[in-house]
Amino acid sequence: MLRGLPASIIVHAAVFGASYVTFPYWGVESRAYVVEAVDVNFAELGEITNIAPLIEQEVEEPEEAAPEEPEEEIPEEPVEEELPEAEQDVSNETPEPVEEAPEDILPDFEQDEPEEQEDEPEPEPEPERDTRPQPPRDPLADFLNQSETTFKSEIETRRERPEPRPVPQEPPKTALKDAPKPAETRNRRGSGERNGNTARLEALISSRIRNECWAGVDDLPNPERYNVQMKVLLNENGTLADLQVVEPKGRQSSYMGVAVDRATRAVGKCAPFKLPADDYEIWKEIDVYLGLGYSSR
Amino acid sequence: MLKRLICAAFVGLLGSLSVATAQLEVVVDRADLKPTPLAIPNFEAIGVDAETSQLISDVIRSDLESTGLFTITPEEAYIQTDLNIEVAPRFADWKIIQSDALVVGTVEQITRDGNDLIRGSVRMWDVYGEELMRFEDSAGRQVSGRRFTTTPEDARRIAHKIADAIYSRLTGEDGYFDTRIVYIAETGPKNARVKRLAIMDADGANVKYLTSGAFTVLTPRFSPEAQQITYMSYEGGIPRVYLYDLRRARQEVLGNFRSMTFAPRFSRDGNSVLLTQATNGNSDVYLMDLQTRQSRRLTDHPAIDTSPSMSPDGRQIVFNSDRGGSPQLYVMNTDGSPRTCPSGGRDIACRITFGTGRYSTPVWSPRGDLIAFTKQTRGRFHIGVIGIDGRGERLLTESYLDEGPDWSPNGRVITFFREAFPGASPTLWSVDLTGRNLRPLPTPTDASDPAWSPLLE
Repeated sequence: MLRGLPASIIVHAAVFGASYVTFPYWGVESRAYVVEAVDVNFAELGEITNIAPLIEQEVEEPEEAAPEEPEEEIPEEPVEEELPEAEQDVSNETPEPVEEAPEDILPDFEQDEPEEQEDEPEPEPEPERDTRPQPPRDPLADFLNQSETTFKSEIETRRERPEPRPVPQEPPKTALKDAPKPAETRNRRGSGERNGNTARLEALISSRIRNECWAGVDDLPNPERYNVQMKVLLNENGTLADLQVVEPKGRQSSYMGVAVDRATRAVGKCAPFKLPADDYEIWKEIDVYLGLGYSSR
Repeated sequence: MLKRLICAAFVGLLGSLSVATAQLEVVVDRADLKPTPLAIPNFEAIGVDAETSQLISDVIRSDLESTGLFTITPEEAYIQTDLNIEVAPRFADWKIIQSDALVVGTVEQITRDGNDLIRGSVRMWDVYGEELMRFEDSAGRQVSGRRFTTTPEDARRIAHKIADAIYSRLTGEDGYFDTRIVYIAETGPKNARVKRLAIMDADGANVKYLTSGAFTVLTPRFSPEAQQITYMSYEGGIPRVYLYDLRRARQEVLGNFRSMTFAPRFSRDGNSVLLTQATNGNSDVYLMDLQTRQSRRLTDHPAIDTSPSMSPDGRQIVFNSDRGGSPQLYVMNTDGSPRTCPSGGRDIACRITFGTGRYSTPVWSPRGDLIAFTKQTRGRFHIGVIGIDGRGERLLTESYLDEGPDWSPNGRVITFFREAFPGASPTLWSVDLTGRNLRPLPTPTDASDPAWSPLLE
């Protein structure tokens, strides 16, 4: 019995060790694809989902707009619509005030989340790739192929863009420049889990977000107040699998709402991320911190 | 040996697990402010002529682009042309052309009580988030779109309202497009200048002249309700402060001062007017109640005190005085009580500018945290801003003559007038609070002394 325990531990360790060594080469086929835009006929979708007719005479009257209320996502405010005051003509030539009709609110969609409907016909890329036959792998050849595919995809992506980015950054340079210093890395949470790839990947992603995707919040008053933390899950092809706003929590309004919008849009805009598939286990889950308040992290 | 093996196995096991759960931390603390790219296809015309729809679409695009915060993706780049306000767009088509948001709208003709009206409707889509961007309506409710109705001749106002809604949704601030600017229209030779009171939309459209030009007028200011203008006129020979009622197209002298009054500005509640009265060569600041027409003297100093402007809460006043030897800015409580000065000590009026140069025409920001001013130093003029405690002075412009700043109602933009070189014609300009986006405001004649109205209702 006692002899069996070390043997069992050794066998388990060997299995984990083997997994550790070979895991990065699994699923090599699925990396670095450019996801094609799926052409969905939204007009038909609209008919199918019976979206309410938008332009109706009834909605001009505030009291008749009330039935639309249940469709509002946040109907916490009173139902009645506010009518603006009549417009005043400022001309001395026509001193009589000109009546301005009430300001109306566009009726809500019956389908509150139309984008969910759109997602339905969109094929998930991952299952497709999983069904492909797995050829016998040569780790070295796979690595070379992967590098080639990664760079090729990047070039293709750039070609697809109608206008070149004004300040295209060279990822390797930026990555080196922005890579955290070893001392900083040691002091950070989870530093024991980190390696050179981690710092390089972080630098790559932050460089891309900063230079190409995030508009920042410098135009807002007291921009240091508007910090957004997100948890981002990526698919193996670099597309966005999930995005959760960790901070701030709950519905935001005004400036903070704008900051959250810009932050989530930045991640959506940056996707798909072109990252080495070998390191997918490292980058499949990313904590993204955007804002001046995180400068000391 | 056995222990070593067990330890090694454990370390290996932990190492494997830790790698499996490793995740990246990406920190971006700052990005260069980039204009947000927007796609705004022409609004669909329903029962109206295409020109009306085109006009409204153009005005919306122009309003937003003028802020410097947005770029409008050229229409030639649009892939999807079968847009419908009732259904979601094909997001992929808009991602390819890198538009962050897509604005879809309609312009239609409706009839109400026998009157033909124009109605503009708009929705906005987050292209990368692939979702509808909800607006906040005037009651503070989250709604999926906005709709505005008006008479056909006011079609441009629909565009300004829609542009305000989009601006507000994307910046978190109130818009300032559905506003007006009152200014002094100048014509004729320099030695026989005709100066008329003029008013226009904030984008320079719909210019109208309120006075004939028979008498020179200066320094017009809007009331908080945008229905009255106070200004100084030489009508009657003596410079005096007047009140112009836009509804009735009538003007009247403000108060029964025997001497010269000038530099008027409404209080924030619109019930009073701050002005300067000059008596025997001495100028002091007064506050006149518009109901009782009684005035109260706020400053009492042998120096020249002028150009008063009230804080948004009405409790403080900033003005310009040369009591320190040169024109500088001072802050005081409206009730005249002593206050603790930022530079130390207690006084009725506290000096807040100590830099080299001469400071004048202070205007308190609608946000309450800044004061805009004109500064003259080393033969050049600047428009600048400074904190109400005198800290953080920033000069936003510089030229041969920049003068007369006034704030947009959201406190984001400053308008002023400029003479670029000696003898140059005065023109109106605007600049963002950050000092970016300096741009001229078009006027049909030479123009000076601009003042911004509040957001129209």
